[in-house]
Order: sequence, then structure tokens, then C-alpha cells
Amino acid sequence: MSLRRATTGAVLALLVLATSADAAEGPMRVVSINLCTDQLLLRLGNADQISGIGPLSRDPKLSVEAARAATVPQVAASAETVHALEPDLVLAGRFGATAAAAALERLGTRVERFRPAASIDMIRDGLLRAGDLLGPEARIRAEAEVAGLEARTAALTARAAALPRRPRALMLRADGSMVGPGGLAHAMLVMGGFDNILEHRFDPAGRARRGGDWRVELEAAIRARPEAILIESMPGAAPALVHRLPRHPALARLAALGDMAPEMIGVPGNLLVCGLPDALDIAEALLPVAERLSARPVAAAEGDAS
Amino acid sequence: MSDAAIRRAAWILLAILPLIVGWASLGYGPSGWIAPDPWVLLGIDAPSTASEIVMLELRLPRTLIAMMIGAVLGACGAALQGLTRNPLAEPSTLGASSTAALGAVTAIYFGHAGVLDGPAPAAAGLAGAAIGLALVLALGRGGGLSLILAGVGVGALATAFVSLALTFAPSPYATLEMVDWLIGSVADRTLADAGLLAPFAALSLLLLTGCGAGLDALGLGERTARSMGVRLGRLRLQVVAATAIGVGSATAVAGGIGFVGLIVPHALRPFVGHRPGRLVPASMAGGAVLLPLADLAGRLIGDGTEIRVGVATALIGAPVFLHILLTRARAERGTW
Repeated sequence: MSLRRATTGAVLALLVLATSADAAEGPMRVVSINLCTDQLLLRLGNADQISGIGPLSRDPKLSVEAARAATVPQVAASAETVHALEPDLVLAGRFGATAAAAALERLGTRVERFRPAASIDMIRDGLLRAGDLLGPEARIRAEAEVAGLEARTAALTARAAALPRRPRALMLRADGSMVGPGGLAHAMLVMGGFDNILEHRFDPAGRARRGGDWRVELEAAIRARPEAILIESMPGAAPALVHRLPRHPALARLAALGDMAPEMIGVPGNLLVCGLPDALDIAEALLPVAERLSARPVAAAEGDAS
Repeated sequence: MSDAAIRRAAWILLAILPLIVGWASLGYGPSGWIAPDPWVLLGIDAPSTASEIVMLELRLPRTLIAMMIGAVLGACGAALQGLTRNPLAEPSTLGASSTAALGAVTAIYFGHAGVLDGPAPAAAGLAGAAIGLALVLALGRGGGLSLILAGVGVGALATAFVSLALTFAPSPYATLEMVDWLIGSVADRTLADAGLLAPFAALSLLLLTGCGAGLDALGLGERTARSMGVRLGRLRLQVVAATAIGVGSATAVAGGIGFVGLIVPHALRPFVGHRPGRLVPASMAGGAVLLPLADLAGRLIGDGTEIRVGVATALIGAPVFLHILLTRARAERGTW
């Protein structure tokens, strides 16, 4: 191919790109370098809009869009590789790969950062913002997602409000930490009709140390007598010491206590990683349990686990 | 009171103290006091309340593990010091804790299908400790501080490899666990862990107590010991094997807990008349007091976020190490 023909081709290609971008189609080359924005992009964007997503969203342990993620190109979250794709929009997280995002901005790329969602409001805002950024079709999809989210939230809130009392719950993450106030998992616990024992029975100053989740002594958590223990599952996770805690025999002993035994509930971990409406699946699965437990008499906590 | 009476009192104290500390470690914890119920602890009654479950499944394993590891580390320290005739020798200064951690880490994070439980990590830790000790004893033959320097070198290398292995481990949590492996912790262990450790610890302690007479003779010098019929090669092998078995399995269960083998013999040496043979069983009891006590302190001081037991032992142990170093330097050169 002669140089002249190549140049003409390139110019034509650029013209095509420019015109389609002008036609209010939204950005044509979008790259996401964060697990959660990956999933927003996969759910709301058009397949031909996606130039690359991070590697984690292909992992079904972490992502609810693993199947769709396998169909689009993967890219490492480094400024150099992302810039080589010449994206007109990069979606990034507020935390993680911050250096790559800042470098891309210095290179003149538009970077939009998303905060990890900790509430229904934040999920809604994230969906609508991503929809706005990705173009009119994405905006329509985002509005449909939000409508579903709000309908489900309203139904859950009404049912939870009708409970005679909220049973106490403890949630163990797959990494052995315990869900404290402030995160999405806590929000789902509360929407599911439960009272998180970490909100009341433990030093709230501990919250600041570890964000939403932190590691409480297992013995203190057990003696606070939770009526339900939620255990996040991450099947196939690579071995690490942290995964031993949710499998500790003390929990199996508790389950064998007869009428005083807390209800043990497995929670699929991929639903709680990112702010997507799928997190509500957890609250919807928990509510019937909360309704059943709230009919039981209250068991007193043991020890001084305050 | 005569010296003999003081010594007798010290031995009685050493026999009773582990029981008292063990009882306290079962009863106290961050969630407050639980009266230890012997029937539940012995497995005769099944636990019927959350508190009894906490005592049986959380406090009992960590107490047993801390006592076993304390005994092993104390006795290993005393025996290694007797063997090398160097008061700074102990499993962590000789690098054995770090090489054992390297073995266990490799088995756990890169094992087929990920072996978190079972004897594989302990076996790998044992191999790591054996290789590390053999290397250090071979490299540190120059006498004096060269043994400790060899231990520092091999230990630093092993520590670097542990960090490297955890950085490349497939789990995102592995790097967070670096601290557990390099500093050591007995938190949230299970009775199965204690059961796994028990035979290794027993074998190690048995081998070490059998070294007493040989170590006493060696205290008089190599030539004298040989003339007394001590087979030095066999004695060396016995101490190294016992240390590898004990420290390897201890590290696989609780990470590299340092300085116990330094502090305990140092504190007890005056009470046993500076005889290495007697120092081994005394340090066994002393370690079984010190480690559960350090663990209990870490649990109670930490206010919900517990301080790892290895941090507590290092806080006491490092100054002791420096103290011994300075007194030795002064004794050798007449001045610092």
C-alpha cells in the first residue's frame, strides 16, 4: 500500500470517527480501569463503544458482568497502555490506579472518577452519571436500571418497616473482616431488615481505622449473640490465611446450639463488590429470614462485648 | 535463704506458673472473663452457650498453641546457645524462623489446590528450618559473632523471599498477611491447628531434653566433652533436627515469632547455675509462661484490634538482644 493511500485511509477513518461523535452518539472509544466502572460500562454502554476494561471484571468471584466482560478487550490499568488506545473517555475509580488516572489526565485524556457506592442513592447517582457520560442510549438504559432499583427499594423499605423488631446480624467478609457501618454490605443488611451488631456493640472509633469493614475479635462478635451470621462466599478464591476465619469451627459449633443457634446464611460475594442494582438481591434474600427471626424472643448478649 | 533453696523455689515456680498463665489465658480475653469449665475443655460436656464455645474453640487453641510454641522456642534457644556456646543464638537470630516461614508460605500460597490446613505447611516449614539452620551453621563456623551474622544474612534473604512470594501470590490478601508471617500471631487458630502442632512439638521437646548431658559436657569445652564420651556430631544433629521440627511446625502454625528463645534462657540462666543441660527444661517451662502471657497482654491492651504476639516478644526481645551484645563486647574487649 502506498503512503498516499494509507494517509487517505487514515484521514477518512478520522472523518468517520469525528462525524459519528458529533452525531450525539457519546464517546466512541471508552476505556475503564476500575472493576466497578468496568461493570457500569458493560451494562450501560454499547459493545462497539468499549475499547478496553480492566482484568478483574472477568472474574466471576468479583464481578456480576463476567460473561459480558469476556467479550471485550482487556487492558492493564497503566497510563501507557491505556493512552495507546487513544480513548476519548476513561472511567476510573476514586481510589486505586490513581497514578495512572492522573497521568492520563496530564496527557490530555478525559478521565471521569467514580466513588465506591455505599448506599442506594450512590448506586442511582453512579448509574445516571455513567449514562450521561456514555451517550443517549446509555442514558435510557441507566434510567431503566434506576426505575427498577427504586421500585425494589420501596418494596424492601416497606417490608422492613413492618417488622416487629430488627434481629441482630453479623456479617463476615470472605477476607475475615466484619461488615461495619458505612459500606454497601451494611446498607444491604439494614435494607434486609437486620440490625448490624457492629453498629451498636463495638467501639465506633474503630470505624475510622478500616473504612466500612474492620476486623473485630471473633470472640467478642460471637458473645454479642448475633441472631444471624452472614458469611460472604468467594468460591475458588486463591488461598490466604484470611479465608480461614469464616470457616472457623467456632461458627460451626454455634450453628449446633439448638434453638439458640444463629441462622447461618451464605452471601455471594460478587454482588457486594460494586454499586450495581444487583446488590439488592442480598437484601431481598435476607428479608424473609429477618421476618422469621423477628418473631422469636430476643436472646441476651453474653460477656461485656461493648 | 540459701542458693539451693532459691533454686528449688524457682523450679517449683516454673512448674506452677505455666498452669496459672494458661488458666488466665483461657479466662481473659477482649470480650471479658469466662470462667473456664473443665468439663467443656476436656470434651466431656458439649458447649451449650456462646461463651463456652468461645472458650473451647477460640481461647483454648490459642492458649495451647502459645504454650507449645513458647516451650519449643525457649528450649530450642537454650539448646542452640549451649551447642554454639553463644548467648545470642536462638531460632530467629539464626534465621530458622524466617526460612521456616519461607517454606510454609510457599506451600500455602502456591500449593496445589491451596493447602491451608493439614500437615503440608508444617512439613514445608520443617524443611525450610532444617535447610536454613544447616546453612547458617556451615557459614558461621568462624566463632564469636560470625554465627549470628550468618543467621542475620540467611534470615534477611529468607525474609526477602517471603515478601517476594507473597507479592506474587495469586491472592490479593497475601501481601497483607506478610506481617503475620514475619512477626507471628496465634489469633483465631483452631483446635485442629493445635492438634497438628502437638506431635511435632512433643518430638522436638523430647529430642531437646535428651541433649542435656551432652550440652553440659560441651559447656566445659569441645575437647573435654569429647574425652567424656560425647559424640559431638550426633549432638549437633540432634539439636538441629529438634529445632527444625519444633520451629518449622511452630512457624507453619503461627508465623515467625522471634526472641522467645533469647529472652527466656537469658532470664533463667542464673537460676540453673549456668548449666545448659538444666537450662533446656527450665526454658521450656519459661517459654510456656512467656508466650501465652505476651499473647494475653496483646489481646487485652489492643482494645479490639489485637497486637500480634510477635510484636510483644520483639518489644521485649530486641532490647535484651542489644543488652547481651553490649555485655559480651565489654567482656571480650574490656571496654565498649
